[in-house]
Order: sequence, then C-alpha cells, then structure tokens
Amino acid sequence: MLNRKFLLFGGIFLAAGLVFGQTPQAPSNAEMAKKLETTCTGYCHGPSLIAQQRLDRNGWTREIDKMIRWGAGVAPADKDLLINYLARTFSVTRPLPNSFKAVPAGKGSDVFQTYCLACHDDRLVTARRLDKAGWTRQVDDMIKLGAFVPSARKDELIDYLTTNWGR
Amino acid sequence: MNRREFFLSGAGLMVQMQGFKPNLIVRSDGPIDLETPLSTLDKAWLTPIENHYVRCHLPTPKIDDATANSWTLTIDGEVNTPLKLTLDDLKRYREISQTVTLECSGNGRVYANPNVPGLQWEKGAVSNAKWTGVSLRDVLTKAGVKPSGKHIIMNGHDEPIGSVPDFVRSIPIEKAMHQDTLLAFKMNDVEIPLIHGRPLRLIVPGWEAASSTKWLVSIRVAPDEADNFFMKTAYRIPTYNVAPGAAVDPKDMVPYTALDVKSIFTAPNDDSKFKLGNAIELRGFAWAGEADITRVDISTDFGRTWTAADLGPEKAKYAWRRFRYSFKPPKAGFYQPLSRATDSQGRIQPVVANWNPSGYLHNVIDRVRINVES
Repeated sequence: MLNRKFLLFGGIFLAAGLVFGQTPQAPSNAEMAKKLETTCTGYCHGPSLIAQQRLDRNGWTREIDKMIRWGAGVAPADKDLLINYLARTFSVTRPLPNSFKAVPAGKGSDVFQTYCLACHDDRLVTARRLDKAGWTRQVDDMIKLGAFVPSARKDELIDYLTTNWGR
Repeated sequence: MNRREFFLSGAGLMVQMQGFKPNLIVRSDGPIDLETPLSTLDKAWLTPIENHYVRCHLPTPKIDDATANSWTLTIDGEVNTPLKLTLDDLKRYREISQTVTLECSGNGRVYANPNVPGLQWEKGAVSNAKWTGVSLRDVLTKAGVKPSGKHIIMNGHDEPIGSVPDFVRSIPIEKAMHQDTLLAFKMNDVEIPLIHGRPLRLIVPGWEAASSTKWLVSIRVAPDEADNFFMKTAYRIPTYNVAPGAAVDPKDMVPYTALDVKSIFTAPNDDSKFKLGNAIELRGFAWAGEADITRVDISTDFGRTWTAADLGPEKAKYAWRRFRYSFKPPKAGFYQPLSRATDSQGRIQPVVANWNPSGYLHNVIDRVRINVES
C-alpha cells in the first residue's frame, strides 16, 4: 500500500510539473536537456555538478551569470530558457538527498544516485521489478516528465536498473 | 570522442582517477569530488586512502612518473633567498608526520536553509589521514622570510579552463611558520595518490581543507593575502550573524580558517531498525580543528538530558576522536539520538545552524534516526 501511494504521489508530482512547468510554446524538456548538455557541460565540468543543486530562479540566474563571466558560451537567446529549465528541473523544492542510504554497487550506481535519487526516494524504484524494456520505458517517461539524465549515460542507468531490479 | 562527449560519458571520471577506484559517492565527475559514506568512515579512525573524501576545484592535472620525478617547488617573493627545490632536496630536511582530520569548508552544505549553490555535500566530506613530509617552517627559514612577508600564496599544478579563476589560496605567515604545517609527500605512509595531490601537498593542520594545496608547485611570500576569486570571494564567512538568505557585503566577510567544534554519528545508519532489549552502540567522530575534543555528550530524549560518551584511545593533535555510547532503549518506538561535542577552547556545537551565504561551517548538533520494535 505504501509503495502504491509513493508511486501515485510521484506520478501526480511529475505530471503537475509537466502541466505547470512549461507553456505549449516552450521547448520540450528533452530539447532543453540537450541544450543544457551542449551549452553548460563538457568543458569545465560534468553534468553532475549541476544536477545536485537545488536553487530558485534567482539562484540559477546568479550561477549562469557567473558561468558566463568565467567563459561559458551561453547565447543571449538561450539564457532565459536555460534559467527557466534549471529552476524547474533542479528546483529548490526538491527533497534533500538520501545518498547515505546504501544503493547496490556497480557500474551506473553514481548515475542512479545523482540523477534519480536527487528527486525522489529510492522506494519508487526498489519496489518495482521490470525487464529491460520496462526500465527503458520508465526512464524515457521520467525524462519526458522533466528528469535530467546525461544522454551518454542513459543506457548505463537502464542496465543498472535492470540488473538490480529486473524481472 | 570530443572533450564534451568524453566528460558526459563518465569516462572522464575514470581517466582522472587513473585507475584509482574508491567506493565513494560521486558528487562531481569532473572536476572530481567524492564523498565518503558515513558507514565507510565508521570503519576506522585512520581513514584508508581509498575511503578518503576527494575535493578538486579544477581538472586533475596529468602527473606521470617522469613529471613527479622532476618535480620542483619554487619559493620566492618576500624572501632573502628564493629557492627552487626538488623532492630530493626537500627530503633532506627533518621529516615530520601529522595525523590530520581534513574537512571541506562546505561539508553539510546540503542542509543550508535556504539552499546555497556549491557542491551539495552531506556529512562525509571529512576524513582522517597521516601525512608525512617536512616542516614548511624549516624551508621558509632557509629562504629567509623578510619582515614584509605576511602571507604565503600557494599554487598547484592544476590549471583552469577558459576564464575560470585559477585555484590559488593563501594563509597568514604565522600559520605557514607553525612547526606543524607541512610539505607532505606521503599519505598514510605511501606516496600521495594523484587525486590527493601527488607528489607534493601542503597540509595546514586544523584548517579548512582548501588551504591544503594539492600538486604544490609554488609558494610566494607576499605582503597581502592572494587577490583572487578563491580568497576574496570564496571561502569567506560573515563577521556577524546574518539572517538566513540575507545578502552580505564582501567587506563584512573574512577568510574561513580553523575548523570549529563538530561531531557526527557514523553508526548506526539513519532509519535503522532494532529489536527492543538489545543495547545499541551509537558511534561517531568529533573534531575541533586546532583545539582538542574534551567531551561528547549524547541525548536520547530529544535534548532533555545529556550523558557523556566514551572517547576512544586513538588521539593526535589535529585528528578526530572516536566516541561510543551504549544505548538501551527503555521501550519500543522512534528515537533520535543527538551528539554534542565540546572542545578545549570551551566551544560547544550549536543547537541551530548559523546560516551563511556559501554554506560553510555546518557544525550543528548531529542526530541519527532509529526505530526500536518490540
């Protein structure tokens, strides 16, 4: 019962984010995730440095301004889009991480800790048993709903989930 | 694969680690920042190298054997005799060792309310290791510090990308000339691994760990502290208590130097379950920078009453103390034991966290959640 409540709550929470988090004209979460990867990561730092933050719009504006001062190539037209995406995706309302709760070791565990557990309790995952196709659908759905997973590490995450909570 | 794809693939992490595979929480995969799980810290008073937390501000420099073997440390600025020393030159000085608890200034930043940007450390950006090298005082004495030399400015072999500021730090000459401040070339009795500063690291005992420059290549003796981002903007704390979330004028900030008094539980884990009737051993570590831990008190009734924990026999001037407390719950239910350390300067951990704009110095009384079932 508890797990069903968790899943229901998680679904409502993410659906609300989808409805209220963007307008029909705004780029999709997937498009913004790609823009974030190409604009903000890969030269000086990786994506995990961004994904662990919990900041409001003012906080993200200050961070983007600092990064531009330090040489980040953010196009003027992209600045507000990125700030909105960052404030929505890596928001101040996310729960505190619980990374001291042990997760199974292995390749991909850091992706799970950094990008999944930064937003929700591990019980949303550990309560389920899915095959690889099922976990692929779950990860894709989460990305559509606003989760950020580095594109180059998505397969690693799916393999990790399948290995540990497969069916 | 270009640089960006390399970073995003996670391969950059493994390359920068150069085969070193600690079982730590990845806070940042580039630059490398790794946090030690509390249950891992719990295993030993002296933290094994593979369990020691890691903090890097810039990409890890490439230092192969040839680079390490031809390493030189330059000492110049306000000195009578500028020096350029190889590792062999340094090893001719008197060897000293210090066991030092290093803690990142931002350890516990994730608990800042309101949130602040930066690495979102939980409680494990702290570890305790033995460092061996030579006293910086002996080397500076050889160089002859002029009366105008009031600070030393340290730089490492790591380099920034683009317009990112270089990671340059400074400490006052008094701390630099303290006999215990060392130029270390060994960590836990072996050569320092790359991510911990191979082959030469400054160790500033009792101070926040950003002063302990890795990959040390130069020390400039100067009249003033370093005039750059990592001294004038970062690693500074307000001179007065500020309301959470308030902006602070930079002129009202000073560098964060010596660590404050602090304790953390390392066992049991949060949300552990126990059977009624069994004693539960509460364990953790307490440290106080340049001061000594004099006691750690435990409360198992939400702070109404406090009882002294046992302090472990392992001691060193700048190292943490183990504490243990045997708790036998009187009845089933939820408990939240608290730990509160006191040091030789009379400092006691605060009940409420004192917020600051960068999330430094989180040393509030610690707690651990446990459930006891009948």
